[in-house]
Amino acid sequence: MQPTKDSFYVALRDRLVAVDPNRTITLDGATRPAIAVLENEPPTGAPLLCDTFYLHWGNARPAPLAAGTLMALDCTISYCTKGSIPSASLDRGRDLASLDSDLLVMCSPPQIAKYDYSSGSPVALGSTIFWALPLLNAAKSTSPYVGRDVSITLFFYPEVNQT
Amino acid sequence: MSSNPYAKRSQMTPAARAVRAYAAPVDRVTGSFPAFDPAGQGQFDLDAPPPPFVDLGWVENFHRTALTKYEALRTGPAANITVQYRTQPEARLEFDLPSWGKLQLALSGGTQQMNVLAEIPTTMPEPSGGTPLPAAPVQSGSTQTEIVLTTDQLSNFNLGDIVAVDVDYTGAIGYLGSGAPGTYLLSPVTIGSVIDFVRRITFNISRVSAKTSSSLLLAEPLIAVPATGMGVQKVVAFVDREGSSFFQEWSGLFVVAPDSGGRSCFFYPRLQPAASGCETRQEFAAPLFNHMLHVSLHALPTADSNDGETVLCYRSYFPAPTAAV
Repeated sequence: MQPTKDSFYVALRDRLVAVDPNRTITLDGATRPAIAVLENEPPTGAPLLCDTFYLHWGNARPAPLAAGTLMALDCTISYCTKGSIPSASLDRGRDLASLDSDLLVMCSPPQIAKYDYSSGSPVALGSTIFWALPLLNAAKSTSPYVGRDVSITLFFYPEVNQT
Repeated sequence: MSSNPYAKRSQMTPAARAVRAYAAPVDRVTGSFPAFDPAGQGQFDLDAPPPPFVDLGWVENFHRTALTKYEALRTGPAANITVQYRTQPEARLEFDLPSWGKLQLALSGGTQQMNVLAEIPTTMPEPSGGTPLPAAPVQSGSTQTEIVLTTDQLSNFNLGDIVAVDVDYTGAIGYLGSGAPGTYLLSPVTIGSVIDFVRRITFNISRVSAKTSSSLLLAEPLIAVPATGMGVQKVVAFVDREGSSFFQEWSGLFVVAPDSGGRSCFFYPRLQPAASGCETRQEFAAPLFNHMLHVSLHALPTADSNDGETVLCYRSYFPAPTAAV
């Protein structure tokens, strides 16, 4: 399952760099694309950053097919923004739409090759992961922030020797 | 409460989640087929079927239909049934194959199943493949899992390539194809890339999983041993043709996997297509769907070697340990 999580994250990160190279964050002193897997970040308890895509992994289960080993894995991508100071946060709706737009582009095409990143360099595992189109849930507003959760279900074939 | 450990019938109802399918070639010239012996082979590992059966994967919507007619002889004023008898032994079988492969496509399409050979760049486009790259001659020492080639030919193949291994076509008629008949010719082929015709229809294919300094190592064993005189060509796709005349014929073995103990096996010595190929769509997370090959087969009659009885299908059951019998 870990190769599925890693491959999905790396694909979205690389696509974000291509679609919006200026959307970056600085975490632990390092500047990087504004996307992170929550379970891979230091458990500092600090609030999540604005204008950043956070991946949260959810339930995993067999895909609803009687035969075969296809698995389904839920992922929630959350993000929020408070707009810009010069605009007095009046542009936060537009910033949210910009994040939505970036995410939709990052999720297309909805399949990628699966790699094992555990050795530090990607090793092709010979299968793909694919996902249903993202479901953009209703925007949530908590002054001065506005954000939303996006639900995506990934499908993958578990690999032999996969951890 | 019963203390008899052999009386747990209530726990032994056959429960299963899927059916596994296997196929083996029938010798079309002699009509002989590979026997599936329940005593010697019945409890085989589902991932390692007894040769020459080839794994087709799990199947969905497995459905057997008996069509043998039952007739009655009636006598007397009340037309009472005096005796019953059967005529026109017939059975059909339908299922869907989630896994696609050459053999699965052959069973679903029912017609000649063709390998689309890698082409020379300048070839004219053809729906079933144009002029292919020349075959690499098989060298001595080859086996069902290793093809020995000359060094210069070896460099033409890469890991992951699918290869077809069979003889050059030299004008033969009848059933063609090593290991399993891939077609039947009434007259010699004289058009197209004639020398490659057998490799276009052969079931003797596999995928290159590794290379040595002198050979290709194969991911799955070929169904026929490669011999000198055969050639190797790259396969890039499979194609079948609605309207084609050839009828596939295979032995079929279906196992209801024993989740709760007892195993059921259905052995059809001779199966031929009962309908042309189509696909079944099974949505699992709209708009994603599983595209399955639908297979519709006719069981052809054979004679049992023990008493000569007509047989369309052998159904065998292996009771769970301690189940009442």
